Amino acid sequence: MSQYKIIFTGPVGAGKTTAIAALSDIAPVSTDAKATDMTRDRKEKTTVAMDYGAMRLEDGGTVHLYGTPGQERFDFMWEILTEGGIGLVLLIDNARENPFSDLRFYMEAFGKFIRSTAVVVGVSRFDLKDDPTIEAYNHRLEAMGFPNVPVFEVDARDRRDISLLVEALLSVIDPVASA
Amino acid sequence: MSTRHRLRLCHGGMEGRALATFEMFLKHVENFDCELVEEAGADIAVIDTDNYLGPYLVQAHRMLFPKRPMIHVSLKGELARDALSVWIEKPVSLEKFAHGLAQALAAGRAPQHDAKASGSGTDKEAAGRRASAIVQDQADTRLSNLYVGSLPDLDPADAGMMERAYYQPGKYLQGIVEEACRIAESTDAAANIVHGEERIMTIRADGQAYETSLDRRSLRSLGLIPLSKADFRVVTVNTGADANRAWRAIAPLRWELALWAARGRIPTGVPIRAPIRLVRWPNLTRLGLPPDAMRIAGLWASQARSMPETATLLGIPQRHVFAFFSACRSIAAVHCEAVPVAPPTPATAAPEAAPAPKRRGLFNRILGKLLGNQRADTAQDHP
Repeated sequence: MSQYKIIFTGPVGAGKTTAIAALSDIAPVSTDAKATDMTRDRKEKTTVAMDYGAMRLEDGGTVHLYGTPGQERFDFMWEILTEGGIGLVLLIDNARENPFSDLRFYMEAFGKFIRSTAVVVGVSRFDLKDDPTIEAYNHRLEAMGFPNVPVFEVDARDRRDISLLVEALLSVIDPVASA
Repeated sequence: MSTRHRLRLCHGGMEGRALATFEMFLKHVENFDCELVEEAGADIAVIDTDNYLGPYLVQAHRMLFPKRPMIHVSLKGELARDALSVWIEKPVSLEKFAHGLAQALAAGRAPQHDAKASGSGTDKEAAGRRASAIVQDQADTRLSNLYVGSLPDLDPADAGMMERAYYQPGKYLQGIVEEACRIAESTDAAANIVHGEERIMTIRADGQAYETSLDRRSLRSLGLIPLSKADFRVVTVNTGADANRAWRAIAPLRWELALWAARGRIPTGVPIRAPIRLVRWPNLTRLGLPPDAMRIAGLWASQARSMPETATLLGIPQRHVFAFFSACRSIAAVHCEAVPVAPPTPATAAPEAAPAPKRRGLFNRILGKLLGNQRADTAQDHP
């Protein structure tokens, strides 16, 4: 049976755990722990290993949804997590101090994987801070050598938003595929 | 045994106090149990045409729901009516309204729901389906033809036939808003779009934001139908008036106005054989989404293709491609390349770097999962 995975990444608090929960057909498995380092300013608990959810397809196949830990000290896991992945969903928290710095960090960290698959960017917390704009993200990605990446405003709690992100990811990889 | 009939009504031209009064009024109408619902699920539309928007509301509603009985209510006099429409003169008594409902039902042979029988499984299921369709309509415009109309596929080689694929943005609110934006930007002054003495909206001096007191349905009515330019004018106003307005970004408005005006067509002057390239992805989680928008965007992001080729390659109606193109063009998200001199690439050719069939099958299944049964269950009674 087909077993594939989609990777969700992004800084602490961007909504990776929530986004996976919004799509998953199983109760998401989360390895949250009480935040003890600088992430505790962002949220009480944070993911220290990974999040896991799964979408069960009609033919019995499964799409595994993996969320990377947001803390950079766990970046040794990222290469393992991306192995066999079909694409990357990068969630950026627009309310953080320097979201463009986060964007650059993750696009570079996952650059090899992105260039062999595809990436979409979901910008969360626009309700708290609407600058930089989506257009500014487009320009920044282009300047980084990633033209025409789908960048959408998202609410990680909204299944429709996250579904559209994943739909865009699949459309980038293979627009001819159809439901 | 009661013989009351259950009727689902939608309304237009009423808001605030007038709407609240109408709701109370409906509770007392003889012979009918009337319920106000979203327009996608209504049996009869009741439109107050006294407002200056009245004629536009009526025309737009008829365009979207050609088979629905409609009741016009007015004090000022009768608007032109079709065979499915009934006029009730104000003041509207309970008796007059009940009579009007009966006339409208007779005119349209609208489904009648016996209140006693409405608990039956069949009716419940039908009501459930309709309610679900309404929710879906609000949640996902991809399920309806609101944005794409019903234009059949056309032969690109037949110039006469292709004329049907074109529309003139200047004849719609889309064109008036575009003109107002140009005026605002060039004069560095806010611009009002005015109908008679009524202000429709104000465009900010930089042309990047607008403010209006119209609700979405009124805007949609104005956006859907060709307008007489003589009825509208654009006037610049003192930029001091900009302060404290509830400005909203203009791009989503331009996008939606283009979809409404185009309804599955493309602006005049666009060469049908021109390869189209996506310049940047529109913010599709926050814009009205016509059917197949993601797939078209995905294709045009990776390779320039003409619109007919795109439709063939993706196996979708041309009108879906035309609608998405028109919306993207309104916010400069697409670029038309020069029409190739050589014969176009066969539309059936696989796109570059097409993934292995096995993976395509997987993507199909994931998309099917994300979209649920929505595509297969596309509601037939949607606008």
